[in-house]
Amino acid sequence: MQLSRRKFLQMLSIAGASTIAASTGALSLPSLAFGAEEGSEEFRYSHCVMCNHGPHCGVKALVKDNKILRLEKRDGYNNNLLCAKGLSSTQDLYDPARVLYPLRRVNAKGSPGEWERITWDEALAEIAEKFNGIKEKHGAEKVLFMTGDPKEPRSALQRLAFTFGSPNMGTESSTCFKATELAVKLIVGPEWHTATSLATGAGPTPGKTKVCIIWGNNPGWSAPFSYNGLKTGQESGQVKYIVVDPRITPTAQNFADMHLQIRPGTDGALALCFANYLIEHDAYDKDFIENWAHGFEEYREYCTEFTLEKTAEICDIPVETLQKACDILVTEGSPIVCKSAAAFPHHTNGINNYRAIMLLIPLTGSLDVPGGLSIENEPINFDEWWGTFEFARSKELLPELDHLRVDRQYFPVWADTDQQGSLQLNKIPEYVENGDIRACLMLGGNAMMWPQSHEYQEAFKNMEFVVAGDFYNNAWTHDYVDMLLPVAMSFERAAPLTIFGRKVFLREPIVEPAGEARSDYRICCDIGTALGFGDVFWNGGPESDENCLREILRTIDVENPPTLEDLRAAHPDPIEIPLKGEAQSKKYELGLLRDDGQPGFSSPSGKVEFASEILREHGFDPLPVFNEPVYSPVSTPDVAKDYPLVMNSGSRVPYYTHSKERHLPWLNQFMPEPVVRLSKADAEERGLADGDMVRITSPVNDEGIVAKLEITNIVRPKTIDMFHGWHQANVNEIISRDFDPISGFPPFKEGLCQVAKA
Amino acid sequence: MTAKYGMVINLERCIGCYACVVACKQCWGTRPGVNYNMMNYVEWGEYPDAHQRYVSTMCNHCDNPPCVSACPSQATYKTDEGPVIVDFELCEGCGACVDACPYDHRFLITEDMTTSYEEVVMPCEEKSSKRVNVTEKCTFCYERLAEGLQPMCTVHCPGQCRIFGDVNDPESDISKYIAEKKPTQIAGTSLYYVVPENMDRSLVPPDLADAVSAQMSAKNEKKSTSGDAAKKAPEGVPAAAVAGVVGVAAVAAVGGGVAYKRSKRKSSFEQSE
Repeated sequence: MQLSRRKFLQMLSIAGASTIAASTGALSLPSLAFGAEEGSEEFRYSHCVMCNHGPHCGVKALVKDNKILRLEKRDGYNNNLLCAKGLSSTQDLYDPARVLYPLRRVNAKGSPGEWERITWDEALAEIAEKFNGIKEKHGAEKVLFMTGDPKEPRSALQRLAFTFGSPNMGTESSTCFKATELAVKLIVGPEWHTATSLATGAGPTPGKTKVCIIWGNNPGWSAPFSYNGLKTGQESGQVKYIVVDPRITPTAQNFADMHLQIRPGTDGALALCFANYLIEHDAYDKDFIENWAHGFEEYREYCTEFTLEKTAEICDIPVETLQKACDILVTEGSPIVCKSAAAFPHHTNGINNYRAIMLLIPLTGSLDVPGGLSIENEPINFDEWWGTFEFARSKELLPELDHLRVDRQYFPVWADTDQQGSLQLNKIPEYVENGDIRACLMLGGNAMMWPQSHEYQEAFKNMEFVVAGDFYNNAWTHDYVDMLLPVAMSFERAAPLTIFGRKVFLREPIVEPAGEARSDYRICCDIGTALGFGDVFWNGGPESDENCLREILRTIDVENPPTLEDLRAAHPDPIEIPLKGEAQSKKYELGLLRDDGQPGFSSPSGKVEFASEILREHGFDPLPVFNEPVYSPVSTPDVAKDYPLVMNSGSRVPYYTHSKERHLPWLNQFMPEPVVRLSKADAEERGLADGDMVRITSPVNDEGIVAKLEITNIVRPKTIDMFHGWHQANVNEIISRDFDPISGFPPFKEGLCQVAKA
Repeated sequence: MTAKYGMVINLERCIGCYACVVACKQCWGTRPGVNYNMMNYVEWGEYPDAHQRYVSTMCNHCDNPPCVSACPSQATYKTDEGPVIVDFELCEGCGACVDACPYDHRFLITEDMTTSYEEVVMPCEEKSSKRVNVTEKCTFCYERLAEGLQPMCTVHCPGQCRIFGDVNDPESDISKYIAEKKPTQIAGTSLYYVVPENMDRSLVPPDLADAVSAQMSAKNEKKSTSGDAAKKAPEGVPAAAVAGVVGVAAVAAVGGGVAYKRSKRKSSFEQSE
């Protein structure tokens, strides 16, 4: 059918076009929906923070009259794609439920909130009065400064906490990245850049990497920006993939040359089995071990316990499958890479499980070589959160304040290896009960983050004063706070910058903050000023983001660091800080990893520690020993009689991040309510049908939680898959407060439970 | 030769991330429940040999579209280049095309339908919210094509699963892709799927002729039995068409819809509820 002139004109008039382009060929229809009206449209650039603030995927926003018409991916940029969440971020921005004004609670905490609107001046005055009052009476360290998932506020929040005089700044990394980081520190030493560049591993380099183990990770959903790198590796035909995961996931489907559907909590045994097999078959880097390993003999002997047969039994993997996976490692050779998830150590034996996995890297000669896992070259003094250590004032002020940290008594290994200035928060109920923490500033917090969440809600309730900053008023957290401040979203703020390694991008606010929302950086500066430190915070105000950015840039320890003007001139392109020398492999041979410039690592022995001296010093077994989960069919068979299913939580879905985004209509349609997944056999055994409402109980919670059942083949038999982040069915209420004694991490991905019709 | 636009969706690469569904929605400001692009989940097999896939479906821009034949006002038509689009000015909102579509991918916008948030109209919905009593559908982003841009779902697929272009041009990316990957064409339409080796053909949309005949069977069965029975698939026939006939009417009526259909059986597109 031809496009008649009449139709052509009609379509234009619907779109409101004021001009008609001439027909010049087959596709002569001019742009209709996009640019037809009067008024200028332009593209503005920022990045997305809909997942965990890490990847900073690029956003190109089409803006007209200060409104975002649509988002597109941003080219000429590192992570130049957008996922379902990123594409939904305007729904967050325009959500009518956003908190727009400072709110003060008028009724008692612990009940549904009744709030009165106050001004920012009133809010800041009260915060200052309360915090300074506590400082005077009890000490500044009694005030806790924390974030939940949001990473962007952290450098500014540290500057605030440490200037105020409290070392007690903590984050959600109490259950996330810091355990992988700690496990690696126990191998290569506490030097921060080395550990963080290795911690969660990386994908393969086609042509160099022989094997990529994707361990407890579903990057197809949790990190789409990394997917293409993995796919390119596979399509090169030169990399073999071993996927270790109890579930069938798109990652397992799309990659695995070998998929090991392991019993949750037994990954340490599997890693030790791999090591034993490699050692027995002489398929490891003897040269490296001879020169750079510490405690290898103890380790080698311990690994001999993990034969194929024994490991197959522990991990509940068929022995032939296990053999095939081991043979891939031996046949393909090295270097290998391991790609894992930040929160992989959600086990009571998490640190040692992860150490066992990461030790495969030095064992196979894959450490800081092309195709293996690389350590950063000439690291810049950026902290983990796009600030600098100098801006955050951590190195400057923490040494004096360190003895006032509240977590050392519980998790000394964490506290003693921490170079970031970040607390282990999982003992908040104890900190409050002991009187060690009396007040809190919480920027983006979530009481559901912790096992037995109600104990943490109670702790916040019992604090003298809690002020939270958030986009939304979430009852499960904000029913326990005294004040709620409106925070600006990603497209409304300029800080922090977008930094990928050595590339720095400007981040321009795309639209004005809604209502009276302020950026986290500005909130920290305003509070800092109200507390009496105006000189440190440039007296707060609307210039705060810019003032902070200038300070961050000024303190980058390179010659002629870029200025804000430089970044604006380059925008939307980045400025890349060049290396002084060349990128190097095997930096440990060149004295580039230690503060004293000597060859080796920053570990106590100066070598890669297969037996950790830091652990030995703290009274722990120095080897990466395997222990069963605190609750498991093997460690607690009596409990398993009543609770025969292995609990697993924390699986990702591509349209939510933790508890975020559930209220966004574009995403909520994909999973509108809490869901738990069971295999067909387990469901049939319990007389359950797809769609039934079921109750999930555990040894620590008989009442349990109720969720909708999905029967699926992607879940391992005798295991459940329960999604976290649902306030109506908070899986954390069936998880015990048994923490990994080294990291303090909770057992989100192990344990026992039962499922029955609700 | 006139351009003929087509799209290949590579299911070997697809990770079921739903970006395509949302990329489209946030560009076109579609109503809640209206998803020009849908995601269908399928699984088969049992532990330890279990499998899953995510199948994205959209309007197949049929060569000889049943919707075009069914339209009494000639509002919906097939452009020279292939995309089937709607002239909103001519559309009377009768819904005949919705019934006619054997793939369940046309949406009637009724007055009771809201915007994403009832209290506010998002900027991307300002134009679309003014359209009522018309049918909407995927247009292969026809307006973007005029500017030399690709469809939103194609550009924003993180897995780079979608290839779009002129299948009449042997030098185009899509023609080369088709020659190399030999995808399964949904015969009679503009859509192709690279179907993984271990996955059954019946788990992607049927060819147009099969879809139409399944739809006819379902209609006949519905006439002769109760409404509920019509939801079941006649044996051996993909139930998508059947479910679509019933389901879409329901969608249009209540303004709710599912962008995600789950399927457990080997041969069906059956909605799980």
